[in-house]
Amino acid sequence: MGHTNRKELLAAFLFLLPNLAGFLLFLVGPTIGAFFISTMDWALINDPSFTGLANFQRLVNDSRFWITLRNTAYYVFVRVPINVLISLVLAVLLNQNIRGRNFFRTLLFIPVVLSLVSVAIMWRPLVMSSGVLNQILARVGIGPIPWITSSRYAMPTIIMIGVWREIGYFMVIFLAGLQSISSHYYEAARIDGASGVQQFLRITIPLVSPTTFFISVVAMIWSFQIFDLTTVLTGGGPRNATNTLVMYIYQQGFQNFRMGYAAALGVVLFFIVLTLTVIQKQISSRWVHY
Amino acid sequence: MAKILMFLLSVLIVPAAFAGGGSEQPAAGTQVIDYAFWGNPTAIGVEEDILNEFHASQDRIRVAPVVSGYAGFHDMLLTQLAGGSGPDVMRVDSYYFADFAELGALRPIDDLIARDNIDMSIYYELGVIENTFQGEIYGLPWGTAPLYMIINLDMFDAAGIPVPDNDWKLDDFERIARELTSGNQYGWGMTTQNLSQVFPFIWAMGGDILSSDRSQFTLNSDEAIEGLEMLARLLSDGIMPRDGIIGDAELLSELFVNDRLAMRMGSAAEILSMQAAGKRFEAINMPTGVVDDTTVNKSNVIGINANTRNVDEAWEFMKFLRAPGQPGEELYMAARRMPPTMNVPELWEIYSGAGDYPSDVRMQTELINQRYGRLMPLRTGWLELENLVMPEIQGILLGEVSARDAMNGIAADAQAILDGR
Amino acid sequence: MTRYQISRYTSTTILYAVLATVSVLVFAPLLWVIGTSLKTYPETIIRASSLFPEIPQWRNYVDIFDLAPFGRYFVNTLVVSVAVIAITLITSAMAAYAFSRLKWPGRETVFVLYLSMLIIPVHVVLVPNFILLRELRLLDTLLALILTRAFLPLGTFLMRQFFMGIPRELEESAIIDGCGYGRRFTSIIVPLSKPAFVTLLIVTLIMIWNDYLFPLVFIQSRLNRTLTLGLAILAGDFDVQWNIVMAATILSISPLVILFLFAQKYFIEGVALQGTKG
Repeated sequence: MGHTNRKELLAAFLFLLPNLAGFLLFLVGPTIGAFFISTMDWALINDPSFTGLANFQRLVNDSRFWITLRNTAYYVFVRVPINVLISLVLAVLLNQNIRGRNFFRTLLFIPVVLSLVSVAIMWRPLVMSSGVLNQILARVGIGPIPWITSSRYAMPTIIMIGVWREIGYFMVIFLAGLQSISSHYYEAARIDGASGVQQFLRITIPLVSPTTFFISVVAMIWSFQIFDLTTVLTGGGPRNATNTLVMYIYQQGFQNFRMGYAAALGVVLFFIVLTLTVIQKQISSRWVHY
Repeated sequence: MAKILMFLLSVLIVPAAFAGGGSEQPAAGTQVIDYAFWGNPTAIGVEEDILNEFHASQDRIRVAPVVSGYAGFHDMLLTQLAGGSGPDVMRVDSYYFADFAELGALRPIDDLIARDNIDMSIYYELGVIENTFQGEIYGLPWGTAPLYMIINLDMFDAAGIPVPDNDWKLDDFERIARELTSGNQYGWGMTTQNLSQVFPFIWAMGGDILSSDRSQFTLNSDEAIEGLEMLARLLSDGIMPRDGIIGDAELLSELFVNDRLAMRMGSAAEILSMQAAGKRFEAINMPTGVVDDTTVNKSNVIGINANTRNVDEAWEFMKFLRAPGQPGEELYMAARRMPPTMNVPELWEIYSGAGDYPSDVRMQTELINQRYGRLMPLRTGWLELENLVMPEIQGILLGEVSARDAMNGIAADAQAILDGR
Repeated sequence: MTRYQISRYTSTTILYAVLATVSVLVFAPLLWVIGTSLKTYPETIIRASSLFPEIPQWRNYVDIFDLAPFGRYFVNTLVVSVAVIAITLITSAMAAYAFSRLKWPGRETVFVLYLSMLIIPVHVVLVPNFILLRELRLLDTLLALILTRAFLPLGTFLMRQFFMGIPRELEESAIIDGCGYGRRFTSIIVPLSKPAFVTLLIVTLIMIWNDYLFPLVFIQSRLNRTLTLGLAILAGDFDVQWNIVMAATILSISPLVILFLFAQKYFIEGVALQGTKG
């Protein structure tokens, strides 16, 4: 190695060190640690004991694990497509030279900066059985709808609120994606006599697909982490209808003191998200037009 | 960019310096101990007054309050204990007591009681029972009291219904609740945050959640199911507000204060907040059934952290708060905070004077203690059990699942928790 | 009017109708919360669905401070947010420089490690991080919240993507002038990367300011709580009335909302950049 190379090596080391050290200590290390802890029986107050795969065996037979997994999947797979679709449609509507464009964009973005805890608190009096939403609906002769007091309706309500908060976020990203589509495509289509809907289906959707892919991945990873909204709004009820995987990790680890089991649940979450990301990557390589 | 970063850093450092400057240094020779308790702002004020009295009475020990509202309190304690720290002295709700004792978070205090000749017979017996785990005493009782039936006098009077006598039956309760239900008024309200609200109805039917030795799950017995079915009927008939399923005690207080709720269960804390709201109300025992003892009687514990290095200081402070002949009891009472936990009759008068509501809480409490009160079969694994059972009870009340199917469905899991698996 | 004009006119009308409807749906809950936060307690029940209070009760906003030390919560949240942002911006830009401009053995391997951690939900490391912080005696400190959030791989990834787009020629004159790596980084790369820094700042700010689970698990003392945690606990407590809870909610969200309204260009551009560069 020459003199300059050694200098570059030293520079690389120094540039990398601050971030890498924290990254290894607080992320990579703990991720590996999660696998070790998942093989233990550990209440933290006492000493850990090695139990092999017992936590994973327990998990297979734990009906509440399956319930929380099902609820989480419900939330992710219903919420993400709805969110993506609404955000995309709104982005297309706003991607025109219309008056008040910035005003609408700003308005729709505001919920994004609110914490999910505050969103849950805000919505609670609205969606109670005797709440404001039902009072308004009663005036037009609808309801009462058991928004969060029925295990059928509770998760759709949570999804509705989740979408409400995130519309603006993804819409803004879509807008940026749309603006990078050259207007030539649309001009050519118009000359061919294509309608607005046809333009949307034949030009917009294919050409914005890299953005759609990015948003789907991000929305999915976020949705898997649902905790704040359900914890504050419904406490996981009624009848566990909104109890989610991350809530269950918290309950097992920090209320029932089963650190090993909580870590095992975390490991499962890890593999689920990993698998889904790989699948999305596969699908995208076939469908996404770069 | 550098300017932005400098700005960010200065924004960081200035408040940090400001935030760090709050703690005062104790004088040399004093020992500081932490005392954890829950409460709303009024209750916190009372505790702070008591701490001031304690500090005035001696100068060797200083007590630092560790305080939270009830909602976050036990989670806070659990994570502190798991984190290897935790307060020296802590108040623990009886629901959590056995689990705390089993985890080794609390220190048995039999040796200290014997050393200082504390007369345990002066406490209500149930308070001592709920502070005992596997034959050892882990703390002194605090807030030993029933969960009363709280009755909205304005609504009862308006309907011309007299306050029930103490031998009222479940049928009387249901009849009254139905009579008081109309439009947006409810006869009875409950939440599903913990099991305590379900017990009276199961007990009145002759059932229980656990067998008498607390080792078997019995919520799937015919009697218990009958009790649960009755509650489900109350909800489906519109006598009980549906929002209680997801709501908290505050929802019930809101309805009660606005004369939209005629009956609810409530602890001493609710009595105080109804008094503060200027409501006309009574507090009596819950309706009886095949047995008379259907009212939940419970206690909390003030105990010492098993890992504290300041056992003597912690004990000294605990005695000030709770031991016979010490000022704590009167200080609590003077602040109208808790019903008496020791048999000192004059203290009752401070709690609810002439013309106040409820009109005779002392007599009602003594009746409950003698005849109508009962302890919940609390034990280790209680929280986990509750986490398993309560969602199913939500389903039963909402009519989404039959009580029998729901309880049979979780019986095996519940038994596994009881067996420590 | 020609047919084209008519159809154009109707479609514009429909467009505005849709946008207006959506905006009302999005904004009405917010207006209602503001209204409720200014109502008296009886009003929250009797006139629950009305958007506006009869007489605004500004006192509600004063009363909050009797219930919980919200000033302290605000300072805590600010300290954590600013620290995480400062650490994230500085260290991930430096690391990204090493990944995009410097050659060293193992570079691709280490970067794949960063990439793979990109998708891991932080909840996977909740329990191990708790144990780690316990061993480091950092539980119940603001530092715990800072350290567990300051080294997420997103920052490094984002900055690297951006740096890759900066033409190398721009650095060459500096090399000729004999500038070292540090100088090239601070005087060429960093000034050119303002949009990337803005993006990272905004995304991190929204995430940290609103975080709930980590403070819930890592913070125990009342005085160390953040706004989100303090608000969640206040709302869960009995004896707290709705108008006060709503006032506390407005109070806790207002710093970020006000910041957004003043710097919305940066917020929106920052978030938008993620999609095109990611």
